[in-house]
Amino acid sequence: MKRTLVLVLGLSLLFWAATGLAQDDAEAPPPADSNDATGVKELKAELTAMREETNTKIEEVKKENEERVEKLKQEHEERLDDIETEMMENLDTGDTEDRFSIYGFFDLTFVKDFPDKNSVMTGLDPAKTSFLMSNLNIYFKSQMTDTLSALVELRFTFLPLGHETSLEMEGMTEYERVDTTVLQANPYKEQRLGGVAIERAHLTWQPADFFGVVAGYFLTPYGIWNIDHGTPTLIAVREPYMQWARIMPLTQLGLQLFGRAYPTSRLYFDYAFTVSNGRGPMDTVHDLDENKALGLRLRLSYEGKNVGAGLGGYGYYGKYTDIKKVITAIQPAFHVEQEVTAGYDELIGALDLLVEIYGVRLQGEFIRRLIQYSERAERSHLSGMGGYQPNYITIAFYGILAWELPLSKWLGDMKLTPYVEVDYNDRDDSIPDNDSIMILGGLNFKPSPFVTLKAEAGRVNSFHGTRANLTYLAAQMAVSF
Amino acid sequence: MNRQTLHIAALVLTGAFLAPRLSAADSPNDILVVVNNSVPVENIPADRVRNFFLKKAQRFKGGMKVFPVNAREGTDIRKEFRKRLLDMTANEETRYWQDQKIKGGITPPPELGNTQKAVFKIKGAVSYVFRSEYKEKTSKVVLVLPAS
Repeated sequence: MKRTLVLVLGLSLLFWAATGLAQDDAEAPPPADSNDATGVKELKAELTAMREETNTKIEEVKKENEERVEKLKQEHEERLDDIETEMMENLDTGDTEDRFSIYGFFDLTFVKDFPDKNSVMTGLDPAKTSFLMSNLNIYFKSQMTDTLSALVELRFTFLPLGHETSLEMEGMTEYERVDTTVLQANPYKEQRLGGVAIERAHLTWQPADFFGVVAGYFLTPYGIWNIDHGTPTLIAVREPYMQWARIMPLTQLGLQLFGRAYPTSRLYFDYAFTVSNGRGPMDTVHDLDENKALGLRLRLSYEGKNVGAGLGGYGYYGKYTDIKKVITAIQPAFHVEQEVTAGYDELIGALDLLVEIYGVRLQGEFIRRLIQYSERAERSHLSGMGGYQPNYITIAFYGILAWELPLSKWLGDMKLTPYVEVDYNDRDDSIPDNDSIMILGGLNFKPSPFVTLKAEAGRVNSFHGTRANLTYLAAQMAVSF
Repeated sequence: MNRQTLHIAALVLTGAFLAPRLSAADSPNDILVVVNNSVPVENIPADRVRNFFLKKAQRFKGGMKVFPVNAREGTDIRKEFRKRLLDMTANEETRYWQDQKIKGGITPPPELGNTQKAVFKIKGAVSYVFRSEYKEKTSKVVLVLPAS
C-alpha cells in the first residue's frame, strides 16, 4: 500500500513535471512573436514620427515660400510703382493714352447660295458651299499729342485672285479670270499674291469737343452701318444693299470738320461737314473735275441707362466725271486733249434711326440718290435695255429688329441676340420692275469680347420676275484683336 | 438730475443719433472721383465722369483736356468703379473698347497702379480711389460714389 502510494505520487510528480516542461516547450515560440510585433510597432512608431517630422518640415517650407512670394510681390509692386512714378515724371498733357497701337479684326464666313432655277444669279453665282475670308483689317493708331492723332486702316485681301474680268460670249469674248499665282525661282515655290486696300488713312486734330478736323481718307460720316464698319461690330452677316452697292460714297478723300455738343450729359448733338474729291473712276488718285463734293451730317442722340435713341441725316452733293485722253496732233507739236466720256451730278440724302430699349434694338436707314447726267454713258449691258443711261433715282432702305436676350443668369457675360432684317431697293427707277427685297433672320452670339459668331438665313426676291432670286445660308466668325 | 448729467445725456443721445448718419455719409468704401488740382471745376455730374472714362467727352468745362486714368484690371477699386459708375461688367467694358477701336480708332484709358500719384502729377488727370485711401490735398474730389 505504501509502496503503491509512493509510486502514484512519484508518477504524479513525474506527470506534472512533464506537462510543465511541455508547456514551457509550447510557450517557446511566443517569445519569438513578441519580438517581431514589438519590432513592427517600433518601426511603425518611427515611421509615424518621420512622417510627422516631414509634414512639419513641409509646412515650414511652404510658409517660408509663401512669405518669400509675398515679399517678392511686394517688391514687384514697389518696383512697378517706382517705374510708374518715373514715367509720370515725363508725362504731360500730351501723353493721353498709348502712343502707338496696332490692332484689328478678321472674319471667316461659311456660305451656301441657292439661286432660283431661272434667276440670273444661277450662272453668275458659284453657288457652292464655301469658306470665305473677306476681311483682314489692321489698324495703326498713333496719338502724337493730346490734340493730334493719326489712324491708318489697311484691309488685306486675297483679291484680285478669282476676279472675273470677262464672260464668254460665242464669237465675241472669252471667259477670263484673274490668277495671281507667281513662281519664285529659288527656291522653286508657287505663291498666290493678294492685295492691300486702304480703308482709311487720316490725321485728326481735335482741340475741343465741339470742333475737330480730319484730313485724309476717311469713312463718310453717314448712317449706322458705315460707321459701325467692322464685322465684329455689325449685327448681321450680309450687308444691306445700300452698303455693297455704294449708293453713298463709303469713303472720301479730303477734309472733314466735325464736333459734338452736349445739351445735357446724356444728349449729344453731332455734326460733320465734308469736302472731298467725291466719287470718280480714280477719285483716290486724282480728281478728274474741278467740282468738289460737299456733305453735311447732323445727328441727335440720347443715351440713357437702358434706353437710347438717335436720329441722323447726311446730305451729299458731288459730280462724277470720267475722261479719256486723245492724241490730236503729233506735228508740229505733240498735243493731247481730254474728252469727257461720262459725267453726272448726284444729290444724295440719307436718314438713320436707332432706338434701344432694354436690349431691344431697332435700327433703320433710308437713302435716296438722284443722278442727273451732263454726259451720258451707255447703259450697262446687264440692264438688258441698251441705249444711253437717262437720269434716274435710286431708293433703298433697311430695317433691323434685334433683341439681346436677358439670359445673363445662364450665360453670364455672353450675349445672344436674335435678329430679323428687311432690305428693299429700287436701284434705277428708269428701268421698270427693277426693285427687289431681301428678308433675313439670324442669331448673333458673343461668347467673349473678342469673338462674334453669327448664323443667318435669307431670301432675295425681285418683285417682278425672277431676276436675282435666291436663298442663302451663312455662318460667320468675326474676331477682333 | 443735475445739469452736468443732463449735458452728458444730451451729448450721448446726439452722438447716438448722428453716428449712423455720419458713418453712412463717410463710409471708407465710398469711391471718390478725384482730379488734378489744376482742373478748374469743383463738381462733375456722374454722367459726365462716365463720358470721360468712355471717351465720349474729352474736355472739362473750360476746355482743359481730360486724362482719365483707370486702376489696374482686377483690383477691387476697378471692379467697384466699373459697377457703380460705368454699370458694366469687365467683359462688357472690354467689348465696348473693341467696338470703339474698330469704329473710330478710340483706345481705352491707361491703367496705372498708383492712380492717386498719377492724378497728383498729371495735368487734367481724373481717376478714383476708396475714401479710406484718399490722401487729402493731393487732388480735388469732384464726385462721391457711395458704397452700396
